[in-house]
Amino acid sequence: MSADTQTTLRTKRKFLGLSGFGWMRASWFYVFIAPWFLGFLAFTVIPVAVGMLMSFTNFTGTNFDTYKFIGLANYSEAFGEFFTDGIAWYALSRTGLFAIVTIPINIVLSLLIAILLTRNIRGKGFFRTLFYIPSIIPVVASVWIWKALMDNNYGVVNAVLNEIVPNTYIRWLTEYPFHVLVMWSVWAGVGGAVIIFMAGIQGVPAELEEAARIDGANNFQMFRNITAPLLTPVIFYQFIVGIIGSLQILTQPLLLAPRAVQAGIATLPPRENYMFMIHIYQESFVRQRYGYGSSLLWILFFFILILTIVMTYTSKYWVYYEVNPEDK
Amino acid sequence: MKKSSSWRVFAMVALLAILLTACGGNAAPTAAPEQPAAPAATEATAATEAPAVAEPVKLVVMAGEDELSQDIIDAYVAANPGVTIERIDPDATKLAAMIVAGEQLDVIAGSGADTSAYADRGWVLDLTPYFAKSELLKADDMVPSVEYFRYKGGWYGMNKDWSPDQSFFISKTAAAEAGIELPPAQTIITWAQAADWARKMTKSEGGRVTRVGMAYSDYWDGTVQTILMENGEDLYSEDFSKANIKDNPTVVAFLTLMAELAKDNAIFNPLNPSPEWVVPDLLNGRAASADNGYWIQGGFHDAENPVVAPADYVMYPALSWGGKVTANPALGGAGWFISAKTENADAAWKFFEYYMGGAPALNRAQIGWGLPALKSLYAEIPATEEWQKQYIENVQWEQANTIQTPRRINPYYSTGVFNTTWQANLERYLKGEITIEEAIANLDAEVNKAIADGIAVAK
Amino acid sequence: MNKKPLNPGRVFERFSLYAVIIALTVIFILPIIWMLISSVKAETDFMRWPILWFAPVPKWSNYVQVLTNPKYGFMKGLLNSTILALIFSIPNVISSAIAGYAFARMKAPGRNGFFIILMAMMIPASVTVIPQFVLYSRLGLINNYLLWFLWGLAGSPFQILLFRQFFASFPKELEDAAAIDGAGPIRTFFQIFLPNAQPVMAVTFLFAFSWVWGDWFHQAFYLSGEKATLAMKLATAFTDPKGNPIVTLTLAGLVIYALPLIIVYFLMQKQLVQGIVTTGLKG
Repeated sequence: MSADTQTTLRTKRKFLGLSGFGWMRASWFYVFIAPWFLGFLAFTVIPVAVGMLMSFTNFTGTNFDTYKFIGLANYSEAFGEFFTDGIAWYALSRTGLFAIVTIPINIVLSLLIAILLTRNIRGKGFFRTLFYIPSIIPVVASVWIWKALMDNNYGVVNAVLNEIVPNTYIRWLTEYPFHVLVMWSVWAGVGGAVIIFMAGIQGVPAELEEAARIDGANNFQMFRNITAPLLTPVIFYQFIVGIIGSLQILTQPLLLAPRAVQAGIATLPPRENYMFMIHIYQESFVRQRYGYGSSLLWILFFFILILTIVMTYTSKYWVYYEVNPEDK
Repeated sequence: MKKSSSWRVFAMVALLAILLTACGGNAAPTAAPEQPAAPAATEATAATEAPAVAEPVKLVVMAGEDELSQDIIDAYVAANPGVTIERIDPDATKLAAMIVAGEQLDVIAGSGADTSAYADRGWVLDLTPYFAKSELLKADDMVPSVEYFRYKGGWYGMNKDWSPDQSFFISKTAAAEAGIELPPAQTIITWAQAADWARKMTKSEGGRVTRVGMAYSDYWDGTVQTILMENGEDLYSEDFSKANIKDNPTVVAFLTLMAELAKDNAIFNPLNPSPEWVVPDLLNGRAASADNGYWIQGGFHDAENPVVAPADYVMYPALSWGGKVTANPALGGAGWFISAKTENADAAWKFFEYYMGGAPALNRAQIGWGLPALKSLYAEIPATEEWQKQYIENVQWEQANTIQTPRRINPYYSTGVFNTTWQANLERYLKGEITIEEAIANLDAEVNKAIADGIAVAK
Repeated sequence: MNKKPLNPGRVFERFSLYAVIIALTVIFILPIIWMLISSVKAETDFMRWPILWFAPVPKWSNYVQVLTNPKYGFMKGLLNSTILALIFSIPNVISSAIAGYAFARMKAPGRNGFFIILMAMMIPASVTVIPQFVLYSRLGLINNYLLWFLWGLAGSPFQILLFRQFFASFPKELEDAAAIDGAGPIRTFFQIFLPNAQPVMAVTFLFAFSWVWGDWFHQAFYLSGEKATLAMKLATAFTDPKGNPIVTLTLAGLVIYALPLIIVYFLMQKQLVQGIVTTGLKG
């Protein structure tokens, strides 16, 4: 998209569009990105390639010396689950539901807060900071906070409800764990989006607003016709980040599972929070089927990739980009 | 221009250097900065020819901090100059990767249930010759659960302590409250009886369960196996290729009974889980009875300000299904192995021996956190309080009168599959999504699939 | 701006605006307040039903316990977390700045391989747990903070993106002027661009620091024993001598654990927001 940026290079076309001088300048680019790229190779590409190979094997996490290549068996098993309403499909559908519920709530709520906070109020910076605090609290800390709030037996939410309607007893963490997970994710995710949306709203050029005011536009029309279109790239960005993040959700449901004493990667959360990554961990670490687990990871990866591409492709119908004449 | 290109040369060289160090990792000398120090040290000792000073040796032990405390390490290191011990946290995957990658690892803490798998993969050392020579660790001094560490004629390790894991504890006060007349000690109680009591002792307040009748310890596969032992049956077929769950009436009846108890909240369950675990549940009055091992008394003994006094609990033999006999073996055995890849086998054994038969073993016996794996240490078990004496009496009675044969460990799958699958299906049953028959059928299918997968991999 | 007369309707509007904002803020902040309140309770008071809202006497000794009881190793964990976070963040910021600069202002064949970064962002990190372990083990990086240094050196896609967006906004006259002065790319970057990038550096540093500070998975997987960090220690509850969790004590530890981030955020608010304003706006 608008990824291309202007550079000052003006050179004659020779090899791959660059002259000798151009190549000399260009080689600096490679030097500059070398640390990142080498790290990318070492920490991502190589392990990922190995992970890909692993998905074609019956690797159990321990049979390093005796594993076998079993072709597409892992993938056909996974897709079989999808078409027969198996557990992998269930996990994927829970994850999809989580994304569908969380992302819009997050975006609408943070946009709403951002609009309120940009309405010429006192201490907006202070409020903005307060909304952001949940985002910077480490996950290990915030899970304890949410358990203290929502605990079935001594949680503060049940206590409050009990004051209003005596003898209320809701088993949040075991019967409504999905609700808790969504609330927690929204609570922890809104602050960052608020900052970005506020900036977007404040970034609307004053001249545009003045002009609209002179034309007699009211607040809603201003938002509908000026602010909202200018915010669409930000919303789009939030969507993409939201999809990537929420489809991979893992740590939160793991840590939120009841029985705080030994939270580990093999923890089984309540069924409502049985997310796709949890299923992968169950298959890999409890059932020691790393090969199958890897194939599930790759399926998730391609699923996310396709969604992102579709989103990007359709974005031109609803995302407003400032036209940069130098881009063409 | 000139300056700039010299910069570029520098940058390229730096880049190359990074590349080389990154790729040349297996060329050991550059990768390990501590490496040069070691040869220097040996050279020095060789030069001075120091007599009788043991060669410096570092042992890497994979064990939890709770079982291998820093105090034990410090004491051993102080008594054995030249020895250093590095403890790393246990983790199954890390263990496998470390062994295959050839990382140094000398002693491995693990469950006796892992013996067959570890031995088959050649990860652990057959310690038979060491045991044969040992003054501290003698075969005839050991308890039955050490069997878990023997496999196909090899002897690969031993447990640090043990416990008959499924004895039954019940609160006298809670029983009296519910109008239950408790039988004398050492009576075999049936599951049906205990379930009935559990329902009677369960208390709730406005939908909130304030006390469950029984805190079940979630040894699902273990309990199923032990109740089948009463009739000489087993959960698994002879060759371990099949688990018989849905077609075995006893197993179905047991799982159904427990599911009904869960539905009535008479036991902790996926919808109403215990906030902690058995010991605090009992001592805080959240549970009126529990199935658990002798382990429990260690927790009881050291509890500060318990709501319910430990003396309030009577220990009975393991619950019985049929009511005539009962089985209460250790379900596994937390112990140690020595890595087959160790380069310090003798030093590792020395530490192993110290831990299993030396001061730490004595200390464990005296604390009473589990029963000693060596019969000779039984005299050290704490028995100052009346209730402790009752517990020991019960343990001794159980050793004489109940089935103590170790259960058969299926080498093809992890019993975690049994437990997590059952928990998941129990949850669905409690939410009314499936019937109990479907839950049991699912468990049967999943467990047998896991076994089949395991067999396919092993071939 | 032009002042509007205060009429009752407008007063009501202002009032309800503040009311909504304050209500929302309270909802967001109460969980944290509850953590603070609970951290000075005795465990039995915390577990009490009906609920005991406030401890009769604040049990400050929870904090003293956490900080001083050697059993919990809190100070050691605190030190380790700090060191680890710094080891990662410093190279991470510098590396990301350099790469972001290259993506923003240098042209070379294959630059659009930048899209790969986005893809790399999406690869579930856990895809690689096993192969990575074997790899790092070969390189002697297990239970070694050097691993975090190398991870830092590799930069991170999001940080690179932030720098890229930031540097892209600079006027190109800057480079032209530098070129006229005869400055090479390195000087141009370090003397002209980087000094002007302080807001983003502050932001990226905070991001990097809090990523490591708050990360539990990688630390739990790769570190152990003496090298254990605060996140590892706090993931499971502090326990009494017999293994019973003491949630209130754990909460006290968590307050100390989370507080530095909150304070740093308050101190750096301006740069952080400004940084996001400049960089996060365009995806």
